[in-house]
Parts: sequence; C-alpha cells; structure tokens
Amino acid sequence: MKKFITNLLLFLSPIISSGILMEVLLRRIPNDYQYKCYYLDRNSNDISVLILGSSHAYYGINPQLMTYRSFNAAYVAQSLFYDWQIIKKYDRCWHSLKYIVLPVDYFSFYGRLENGIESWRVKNYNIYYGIRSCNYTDNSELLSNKLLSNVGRIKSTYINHESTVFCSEFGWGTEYTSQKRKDLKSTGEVAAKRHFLINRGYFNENVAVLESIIKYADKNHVKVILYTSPAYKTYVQNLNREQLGRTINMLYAISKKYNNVSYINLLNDNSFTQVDFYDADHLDDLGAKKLTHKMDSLLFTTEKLPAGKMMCLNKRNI
Amino acid sequence: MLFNSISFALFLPVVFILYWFATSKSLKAQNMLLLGASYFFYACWDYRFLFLLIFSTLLDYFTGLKIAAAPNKGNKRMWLWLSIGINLGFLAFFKYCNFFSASFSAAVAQLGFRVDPWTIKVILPVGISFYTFHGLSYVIDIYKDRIRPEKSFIDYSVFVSFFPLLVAGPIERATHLLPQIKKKRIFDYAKAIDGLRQILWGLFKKVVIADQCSHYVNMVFNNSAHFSGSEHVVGVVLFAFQIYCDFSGYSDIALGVARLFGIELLRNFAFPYFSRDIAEFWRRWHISLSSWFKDYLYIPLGGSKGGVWMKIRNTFIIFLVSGFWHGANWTFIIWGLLNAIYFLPLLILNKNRTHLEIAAKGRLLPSGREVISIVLTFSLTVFAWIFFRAASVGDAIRYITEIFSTSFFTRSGQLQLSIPFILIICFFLIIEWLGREHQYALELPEIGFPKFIKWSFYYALVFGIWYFAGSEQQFIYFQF
Repeated sequence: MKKFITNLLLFLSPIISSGILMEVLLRRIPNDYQYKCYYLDRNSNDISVLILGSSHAYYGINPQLMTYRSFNAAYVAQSLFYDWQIIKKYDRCWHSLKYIVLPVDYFSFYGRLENGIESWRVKNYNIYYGIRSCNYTDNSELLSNKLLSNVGRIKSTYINHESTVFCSEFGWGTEYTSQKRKDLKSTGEVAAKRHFLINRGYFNENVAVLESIIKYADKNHVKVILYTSPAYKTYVQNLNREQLGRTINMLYAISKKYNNVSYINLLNDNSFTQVDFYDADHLDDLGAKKLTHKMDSLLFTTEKLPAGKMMCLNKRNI
Repeated sequence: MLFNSISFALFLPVVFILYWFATSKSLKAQNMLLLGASYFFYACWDYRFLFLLIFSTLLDYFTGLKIAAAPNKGNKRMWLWLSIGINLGFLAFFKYCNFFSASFSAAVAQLGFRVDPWTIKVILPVGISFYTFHGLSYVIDIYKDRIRPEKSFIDYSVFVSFFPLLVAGPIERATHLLPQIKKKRIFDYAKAIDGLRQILWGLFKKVVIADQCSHYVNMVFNNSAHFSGSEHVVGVVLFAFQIYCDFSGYSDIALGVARLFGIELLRNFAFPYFSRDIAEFWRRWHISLSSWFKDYLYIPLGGSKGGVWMKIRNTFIIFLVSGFWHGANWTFIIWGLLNAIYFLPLLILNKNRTHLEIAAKGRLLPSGREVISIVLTFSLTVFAWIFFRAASVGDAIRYITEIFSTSFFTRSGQLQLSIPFILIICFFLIIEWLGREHQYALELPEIGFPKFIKWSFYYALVFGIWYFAGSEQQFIYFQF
C-alpha cells in the first residue's frame, strides 16, 4: 500500500502542481468582474444610477455620458438573479442611489446563468464578487474553463502583456465598436434562435426575482427603469411571438403594479438604425451613445413625476 | 455524480482511504462502507429513487430466502414470479408506460378510433434496468438451485448496489460477485495499478473520443437536412466510435474502480469492432447483457437444442427484447431486429461460432480476408446504429435515404473534422488493435517498457483528458 500511495503521489505531483500554478496565475489576471466589484466596493455609496443587466446594457449604456453619477454593473449573460445578488451585496451602501436601470429582454425570464452555455461565468461571481455558488467547481478558475482557454488567458496576459479588462472606468463595455461591426442578418438569426425559450419553467422564478429587486428599490425610495433593448430587425423578425408577447405583457403588468417602476419598450424603436448596431442584438458605440441619451432624458422625465405616478412610457409595440 | 466529474475524483479517494485504512480489519465494516458509499453515490443522482433501489433490494433479498425455504416447487415458483412481476412491473412503469400508452393510441387510431394517449410525467430512475437485472438473476439462480440465498442483507445489498456498477453495469451475477464480497480482500499493488490504468484509459475514451465525436454526431443527426449523404456516413461512423468509447469507457472505469477495492467485475467489452462476423460482434459487445439474455432467456426458451428454426426464433426473441431493454422507442426495436436479421445467414449455415478468438491472434497485422470481414461487419453494425441514434423511425429512414441519394457524392462543407481529431481517432484505433489480445487495450505498455516511457505515455493521456475536458457529459447508457 505504501508503494502504491508513494507512486501515485509521485505521478500526480506534476499534475497537481501545474494545476495549482495555473490557478494562481489565472486568479491574478485582472478582469471586468474584479474591476466592477472593486469599483462598487469603494463607490457604491456615491452612485445615483445603477445599470444592471446582460450584455445589452453592458455595451448599450455608457455611464460617462449620463448626468447623474452612474455605474454600469451589467455584464455579458448576467441574469436577473445576479443583478439581484449584486444589489443585495451592497445593501446599506446605496446611500445616493436614485435609479436602477435594468433591461428585461426576450430571454430574460426564460433562462438561468447556471444552466446555459455561459454557465462557466458563474465562477466569476463566486470568486470575484463573493456571491456564493452551490457548485464547488465555481471556486476554481481552472476547473470552470477548458485548458486551452486557460492557457490562452495566461499567454495573453503574462507573455503578450495584453489588456484583460475590457470595460471603461464606469463599467461600460468598450469592445463593440462600429468599426468591428458584424453581419446583421446572420447574427440576427443565430441570436434569436439562441434566445428562444431557454426554459419555460424559469419564467415565474425570474419574475419573482425582478419583483424582489423592485420591492427592495421601493423600500429604499429608488425608482426602477425597466426597458426592452433596441434590436435590429433581423433579430426582431426571428423572435417567437408568444415568448416575446408573454415577456412584454408581464413587464407592462409589473409597471402597472408597482408605483416605482417605469417601463419602456425600445425593441422596435426606429431611431436606432443599422449604424447603431454592432450585431443584430447589441448596440455599438454610436448606438450606445443614443441609448444613453435616451435613458438620461428618461430619468429626468420620471424625476418630474410625483411619487406614485410612474408609468409605461410608450405604447405596446410588439 | 459522473465518473468524469470532479466530485467523483474527490469521492473515490475518500472511500478508498476509508476502505483500506479505517475499515480494513473488518470485512463487515468494509462492506458497510461500500454500501454507504454506494447509496451516497446513488443519492447524488436523485435521493428519491434511493428508496426504490432499497425496496428492490429488500424484495429480492426476501424472495430469495422464501424461494429457498419454500416446501415445494409450486411455492418456489410463486415467490419467483412475485419477484419477477414486481421487478418488471417497476421497470415497465418507469420505462415503458408512456410508450405502451402512445403505441396503443396509435394502433387504435389506425382502426379509426381516437383515444388520447395516457401519459404520465415520470423520470427514469438511473440504473433501474441494470439493478433490476441484478436482482432477477439472483432470484432465478436461487430458484434454479445454482446458488444458496445470501443470509447477510448487507452483503446482498453491496452485490446489488456496488457503486462502480450501479448505474450502467456491467450486469453482475451473484455467482461471480457475491463470493468476492464475502471474502476478505487483501490489497494487491499490481491489481490496484492495473485498475488505475484501466480508469485512465476509460476516461481517455470517454472525454477525448466519445465527447468529441458527440459534437459532430449531434450536428449531423440534429440538422440532417443540411448535410450531404457522405457526411451522413461520417456522422454515423463517428456515432459508432462515440457509443463504443462512451460505454466501454464507462465499463473500463467501473472495472478499474472495482479493482482498486480488490473486486473483479465481469468484462463488458472485448474489442467488438475487430469482429469478423456479427455473432463474434455480439460475443464482444456489452458482454454482461448478452450473456444475461443467453442464460436467462435464450437457454430457458430452448436455446439451440431444437434445431435451426428454434435457434432462429430464439435469436429473434433475444434481439427484440434486447432492443426493447434499451429504451421505449421503436427505433431500438428495429435496431434489435436488424441485428437478428444479420444473424440469420450465420444461423442457417451454422457458422455462428466460427470466430471464437480475436482477429489476427498472435500476429501484428490481419490477413486480407480478415480485413474484409472486419470492414463488412463494422459496416453492418454502423448501419444498425442509425436506428439506435435517430430520434424516431422516420428520422432514421430520412437519414438512410440521404446516404443513398446523389448527395453522397457531394459535400456541404459544414462538417469539418479537424486534423488533430482524426489523428486522435487513428491513435486510439492503433492502441486498441495492439492491445486486442488483452483484457483492455492499455494492458500493453506493461510489457517490457521502461517506467519512463510508460509514465510519459500516461502523462500524454492525462494531458489529452485535461485538454478536452469541459462540461461534464453524461454517459449514453445512463438513459437505459
């Protein structure tokens, strides 16, 4: 038995040590999650507008262009559950918070980050935000990604010295520029297909999470601006009407139910044209500028409304 | 808890250490530990079905005792049928209820009546087909006086629930496994090393070959209309590799893990794709199930004693039942039927036991004739796999139609196999061929290679597993 254990440990030691070394190197790579958490740790009490949500908000709203002090805490594939967890994490720190801006899109009520193809991102919330996950592999960078991807990250950071933080000082995603625009037709079809009915069973669960955010906001005298992100027609045309209709109807119902909620549906907003899109469901820097201005003016509109007079800001345009 | 998961990589060493260090002085304590670990392992899937497993264990344990104690044949038979009835009843309820209901409704609709199928939302308890067959073989063996009933409930429970074989076999026999459970196990260095090596090879087959093949296979089978006939052929050939590496990979890990605990399980695969005829293929593929059907169905039906026609009838029954065992879908039944049809010429010409040894035994390369028979047998098997993999009979027919269409001579260009992937498949085939005279392919490097070369080879395999490991993918046979 002694010989067996010795030989086994001898054999495993290079594998285990290289694993530990990689884990250490990977954790030392700066990343957007780490940066956003770092920023919120220091500035959450000064923020007036908190932008949450998925990549649609991450690339779509540039806080630097807003009148109030804002921060974009949205990120790629961030679900309502993680939006809620981020709010809760800084509970008692939101001293200046006036608005929460949150996109609720075609897929928002139908998925969970943990169960989709982006589930590997859960470890980032666990490791960098400290939002605990029940899956123990989410405690490790190494175990949450493929070897090739991990090696690639190590190489680009430590050998090529490339930047690994892609958001601006205020959390806005800077990678999707108009110069790098993708084909709007094919990306529209693919994204619509990817976002179709991820799981109908999550609908009520996600609505409940959204309502928790709204109730929390109400308790703390914070207004919630819900919006459905603008998208290019190739994406909109390929959406399932039932799934979209159910989402939009629920958002109208929620905006009616809660006095601190406004909802605006920008899905078919004609002011966003081809040049505003990076791909069919994401805005580029030009589109982001447009949306940010729209949101900024919206905040002033809602601010003028007396308490209890929040509203749906446009007609249904499903 | 999958064999290819981190949780299993943590679970196994803990059980191993407790087994050989904390409980090694008492056989009873070791068996209790194995039982506790097995129940924990099963509960990780779905703790609710643990009760079903325990109930099934209790049922067969007590009926086994009752059969042995019964005063006459009639009483024995009554207890036997009680056990068979309840075991198969559970299997039918969980696995076949919706299938029977839908088939009945479809059949009635042919007569012009409309009956809505009565369907229930029921999850298939993992491993039910396997542990039910364990239990059945036990009570049948007691009824046939092949074994005495097991007195110790713990030992019997370990026989049914031993975690390496619990969810996907090999389907063990009481005559083989129970004596090992009852005997004191002594740690054997060579066996433990061999076990680790077999686990490594099993993981390589699963993670590197099966899971990579599944990517291409799913692409072709799920979007069949976008691919040409030749790409359909590639798709199903890759499925042949996927299912073999997935299931034999699982079996290798199961056998290797059991060996770490000083227990030898039945061999489940013996290089089936090097078979020279379909009879040889079935002696080498899922051996524990084939032999179960032979012993508990084929022979009781009369086997080959009644001449050629009896042999043909019984072979067809076996394959139909085998197809049905795999799942409640007509595709599996047609798959079974096809294999039975492949058997026909061999049965009629009485050549079903021509190839009892592995191909090219004692030689490095096969003869030209062997190559032709191997390729032909592989092609027949691959053709049958279309039905096994397709979601419905209609899909399978469309798939075959596409293969035999003019699009066979074209390429859609959507199926791009990478060069490293093709090289890995070739490497795998070479290792399997070189190791075909052994219990499993990787026994080979043990013969006369210096430690440095062996370890380098193992590290290369570990690197391959690490490189390709991503999201944990279930083993195909867990669904059966």
